[in-house]
Amino acid sequence: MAEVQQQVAYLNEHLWVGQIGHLAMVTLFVTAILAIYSFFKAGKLKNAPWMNLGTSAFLVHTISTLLVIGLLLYSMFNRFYEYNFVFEQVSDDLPTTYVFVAFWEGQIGSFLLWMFWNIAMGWMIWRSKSEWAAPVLGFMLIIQAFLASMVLGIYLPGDIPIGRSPFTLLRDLNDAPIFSSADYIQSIRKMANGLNVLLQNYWNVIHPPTLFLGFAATAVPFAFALSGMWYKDHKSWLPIALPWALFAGAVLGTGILLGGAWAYEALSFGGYWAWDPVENTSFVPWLILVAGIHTNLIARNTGYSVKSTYGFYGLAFLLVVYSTFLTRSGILADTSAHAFTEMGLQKQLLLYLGTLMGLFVLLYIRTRKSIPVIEQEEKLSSREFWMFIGSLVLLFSAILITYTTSIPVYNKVFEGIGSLIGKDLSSWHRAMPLEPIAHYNKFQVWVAFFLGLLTGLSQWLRYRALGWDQNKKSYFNRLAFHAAGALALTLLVNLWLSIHAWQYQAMLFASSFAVIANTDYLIRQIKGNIKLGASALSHAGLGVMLIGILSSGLNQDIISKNTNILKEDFGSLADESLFDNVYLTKNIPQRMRDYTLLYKKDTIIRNERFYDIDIYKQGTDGKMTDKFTIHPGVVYDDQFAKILSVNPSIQRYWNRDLFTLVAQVNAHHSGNEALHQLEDSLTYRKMNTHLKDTFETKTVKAWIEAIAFESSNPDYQPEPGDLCISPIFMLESKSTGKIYRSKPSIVLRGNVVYSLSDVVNEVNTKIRLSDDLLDEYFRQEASANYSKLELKQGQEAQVQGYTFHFAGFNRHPEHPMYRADSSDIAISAFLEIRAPNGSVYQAEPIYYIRGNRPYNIPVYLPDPDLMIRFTHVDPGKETIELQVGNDHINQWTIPFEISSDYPRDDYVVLQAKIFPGINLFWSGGLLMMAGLGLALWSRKKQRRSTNA
Amino acid sequence: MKRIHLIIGAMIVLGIGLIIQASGDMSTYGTFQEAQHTGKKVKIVGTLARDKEMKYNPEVDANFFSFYLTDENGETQEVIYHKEKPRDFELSEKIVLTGQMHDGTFRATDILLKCPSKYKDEELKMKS
Repeated sequence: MAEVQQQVAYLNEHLWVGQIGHLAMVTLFVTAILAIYSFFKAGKLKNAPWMNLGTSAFLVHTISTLLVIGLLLYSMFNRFYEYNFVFEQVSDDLPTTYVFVAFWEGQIGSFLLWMFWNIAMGWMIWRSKSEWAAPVLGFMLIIQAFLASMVLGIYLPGDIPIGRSPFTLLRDLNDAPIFSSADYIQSIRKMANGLNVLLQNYWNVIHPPTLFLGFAATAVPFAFALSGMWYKDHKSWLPIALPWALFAGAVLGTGILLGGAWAYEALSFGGYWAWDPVENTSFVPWLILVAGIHTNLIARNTGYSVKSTYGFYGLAFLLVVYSTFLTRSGILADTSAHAFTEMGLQKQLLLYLGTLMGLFVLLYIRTRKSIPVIEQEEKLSSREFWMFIGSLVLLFSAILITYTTSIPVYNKVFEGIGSLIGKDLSSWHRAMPLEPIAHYNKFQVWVAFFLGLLTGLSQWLRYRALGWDQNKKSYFNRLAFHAAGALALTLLVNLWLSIHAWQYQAMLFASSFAVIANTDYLIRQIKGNIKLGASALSHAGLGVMLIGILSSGLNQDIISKNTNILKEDFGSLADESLFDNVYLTKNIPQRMRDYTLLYKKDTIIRNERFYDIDIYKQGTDGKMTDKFTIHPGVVYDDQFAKILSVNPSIQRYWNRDLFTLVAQVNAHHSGNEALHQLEDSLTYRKMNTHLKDTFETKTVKAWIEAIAFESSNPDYQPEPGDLCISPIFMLESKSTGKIYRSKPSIVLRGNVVYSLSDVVNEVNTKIRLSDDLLDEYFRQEASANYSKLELKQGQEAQVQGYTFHFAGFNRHPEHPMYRADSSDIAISAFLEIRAPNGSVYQAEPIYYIRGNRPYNIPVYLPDPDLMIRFTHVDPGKETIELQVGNDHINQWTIPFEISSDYPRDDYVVLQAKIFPGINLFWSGGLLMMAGLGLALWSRKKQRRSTNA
Repeated sequence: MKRIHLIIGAMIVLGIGLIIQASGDMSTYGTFQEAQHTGKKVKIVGTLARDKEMKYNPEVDANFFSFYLTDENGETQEVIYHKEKPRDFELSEKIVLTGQMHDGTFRATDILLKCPSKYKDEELKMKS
């Protein structure tokens, strides 16, 4: 194939982009290696020329990386589909704003985003001009070189690929006949994937960059720790690394919170946290990083915990790499809802993880003995002792989460061992717990418990137990006060929430304790000096967040749950998260606990369909206390072929959210693919009947009551000259005996026939008319035997035994078949018709002129079977001309098709739950991040003032 | 022996205990036969029996979806799921059920679908 392709001279390709790009890619990789070497030389020899060389190499590396990113963005903006990367990420109709999202959505783009942030971190370190800059940059660039290798796209001898290049041509990757055409790009334009519409939202603009900045920032304390061991200087890096760790903690934490907010607001996970492996693996590094921040504080203030600080900073970033491995190697595909698909980088990712781990362990073993250890024990009454215990609790939490999340890894390992020893070890394979959320919660509730208590306890202690003997009494007094306060708050919260498990009561008490003790510290101890309040602020935030988790997670109330499910019928199934859908029929109110729901209509905006549902809430006295409209929806692909996702609607209150989700839409709203299938599957029965003849289908007894010459179908817009025939069917439901009316129409406009079918959902019936009805009409009309009469206003005349009295004009006639136009000359005639038997009828036929052409809208009187047309006005004689004839409608044979298995198109299935106190979760989380930010800011201030 | 070492030692012991407990929560993939036999909750991997009837009629009951699944032993069994029919259910390559036998049918409490990924799909289209 390759040879064949070379003979084709392709048109409209931009091969220069790939050539420059590939060159830049190789350059950035080589310069990263050069920079690593130079920076380590510079670090070792403390010599400026090596430092300068490293800096230059890093500069070239930076420029090359930016060039690669720039070229890719340029190709994406200009839709150079010859590149696989562009073909996969963008399409012609992708809005410009989302090109950036498309860039970092895929694996390759996200590696480049990570590299971008690494470079940014690198220059900030460089700017500090500290003696630590050289080795820290060296280690940072080792990470960078590994990331670069993922997107390098070169082949080692033996055809071993290194990375996946973003500049690979589509035609080099695929063998398809289309590539024998020189102008293939034109033909593939339409096939370009584009960005999944699910990802086209603002969350995806902010969430990935924040998370990857967090990853890049987590690498900085790691690099400092490695440098510390390399220099065997275990002291002076600690204060420099601390702000970096605080920054990383704040950014990574914000990234995780943003992910939760995204999942909650825009995705259909039904919550902000589901213990999904992908969520877990970004959360665990954060936990360890926070443990590291605490031991770093201890080490800086007391000299204890240096070893642990090394361990935590090392582990934090290694876990980031482990997370990268899990989410990108395809290993999680069986257990996670949103891992990347496999890209063939498994081995390279393992090498990355293994090298960094090996480097860390080797350096640690080599320098372990030189790390200072204080022989004297920490005092029980010291802050550092309890802080250290807290860090261990965080480590515990991380180990337990990782242990379960890694199940697929164990299976892979067993698989590997099995193939090595030639035995089938599949009986060793394990699956995720049957109740994953309960599994994680069971352990983490105690993590929350201890953390809550420890933050409150240690906040009021001092490093090295300074002044303990004097303060002992007041400390315990305060402790008692806080415990009492926490107990009061626990009781108060219990009035609001129903918490049955004692474990959660314990967690609630500990969280309340954290809130009270830390808030008290903020108020009393720091006396307005906010800079000292960082830790208390974070920890109070943690307490608030934990209470928020208890309220919104544990006390989630599924209000759409069918509470009539009987325990004796369903056993333990009744307690599962099942039976939680409510069925809503259009325009029929539906009760759901103390809410009444009314599905009013649905609207399509762009590629989404929104359902407008009114909700009324009743108080205990039955009075309406609240009324609002929700708009949950479904998201289609751009062709409306199928539904991609659902879009929740959240009604927010200060103390709770009402969260609604469309669980199922009717078949007619499921996209065009389903709609076509549906149309194909409907069976129609062809019938011919006369007026009033009864007939039966599976669901109804029916007859045609009458025929009208207009339509009230909302999709029908009448035009002058339209002929519209609408038989009126009466359908009597066999199951309920209720009678429904159905009025399908057939319209002749010029030479075109439109058939407007009609649906009666209640009896699953759809009726459409056959074109033959028009033939029948014209056949009957030809023999209708019309008589003409001319009348002045007030005059009477007789036709076929009927007396016609022309009572007057209406200059503003109204009729379903007439849409007034300002240029129209339109009138209708009031007629009174007396039959031979004395009955009196009224009719108002219309005559109008539009654009020099006369039109009329006749009136048909079914009982005397008279068709009355108003055909002319003679202004000179002041007369009108009428045509009156018999259409013999009761003799018509009316042909139609009827289906009685039509699925209803007027319902939606909804799920609704209440998240009480979810704002506690968000605000607690934000307070925690604000605390980290504040700590960072006050350290900077402090350092600046000590430097000055 | 320092106090901190005692604490760390205690934590390690506790940690091992918790890990053993966590391991007890881990499940294995079972079959309908096992579900029938033990009556306990299990995870079953299987494929949708496409020739058998699939029922979801929200008008009658929005919380009743039934279908047939063939497990890895080749046994086909009716499954009832008291929830809506999951989206793209027919497209699934593999289905992972969590649930138990109840009144002669398998009652699923959770359904996880393995669908062919978009990427692979596209690749097939290109190569053909």
